[in-house]
Amino acid sequence: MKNTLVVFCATFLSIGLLASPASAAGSTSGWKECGANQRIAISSSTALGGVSSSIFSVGHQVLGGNNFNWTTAGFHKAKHNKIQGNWAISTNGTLNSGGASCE
Amino acid sequence: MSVEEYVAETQASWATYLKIENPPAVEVIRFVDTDEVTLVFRECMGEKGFPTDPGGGINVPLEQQEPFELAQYICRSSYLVKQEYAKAPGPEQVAIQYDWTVQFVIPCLEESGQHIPEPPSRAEFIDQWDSAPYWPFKHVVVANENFNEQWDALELKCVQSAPGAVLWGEMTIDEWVAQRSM
Repeated sequence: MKNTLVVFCATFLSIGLLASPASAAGSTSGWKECGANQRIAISSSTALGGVSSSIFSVGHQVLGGNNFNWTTAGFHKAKHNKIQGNWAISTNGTLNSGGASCE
Repeated sequence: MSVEEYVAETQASWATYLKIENPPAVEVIRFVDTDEVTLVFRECMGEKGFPTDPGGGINVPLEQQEPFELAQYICRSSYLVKQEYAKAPGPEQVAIQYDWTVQFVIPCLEESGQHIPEPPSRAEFIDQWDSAPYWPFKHVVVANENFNEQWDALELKCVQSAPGAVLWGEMTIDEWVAQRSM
């Protein structure tokens, strides 16, 4: 039970950190598990929406791995060096679509 | 809005977004166009101990998450987008983004070996912009090996969003391309 609680708390903390920044106008996150010969890929389609280009950012992250940031809106994609993990997309613009896949 | 007010407001927005509770004072080093931000941001992050790998990623160990957010705050606050480009785009800018897409982005991708299907018409592009914007990069196919390096090279070469100077009418697409190749 104690171990379960520790795992739960660690996962909760991880998702909390991963979802950061929480004030993102658009964000989505989840858990992805890929086969042995695959890696997690994250893609997103964003737009400025109502925000100025001076404060636009979109980030893709798999917890504990590489973080990819783009400073302009668009369709962005990156492959992460992880077989499994908590992933997240966050932007202060508008997130039109986005998610993780195994490739 | 004065320059000082613009700087204060923009830096405050970054602090809020990145959840920096007590943001340090950051002096603006340079005002840049939107297409320059990625490169100056990467250089700055490297100076703060977060180098960008050849594929455009930054390795962030779990225990480095907070320092990473702070470094982002400092770097984004040091190189602000020029105030004259820091406006929410309107219908005229969406039309310019269409021209940018068909006159610059798609030819650039095709010159790089990509096959991009017929884009939407100008009217369709504008109609869909708010709900499902058309980005030709959605059709980009690169090999699994060195995927990130190839993708990042295309992003830097075939800039997806029209630069501020083009978007806000300071120069034409042709003038921007000519200036870039100088």
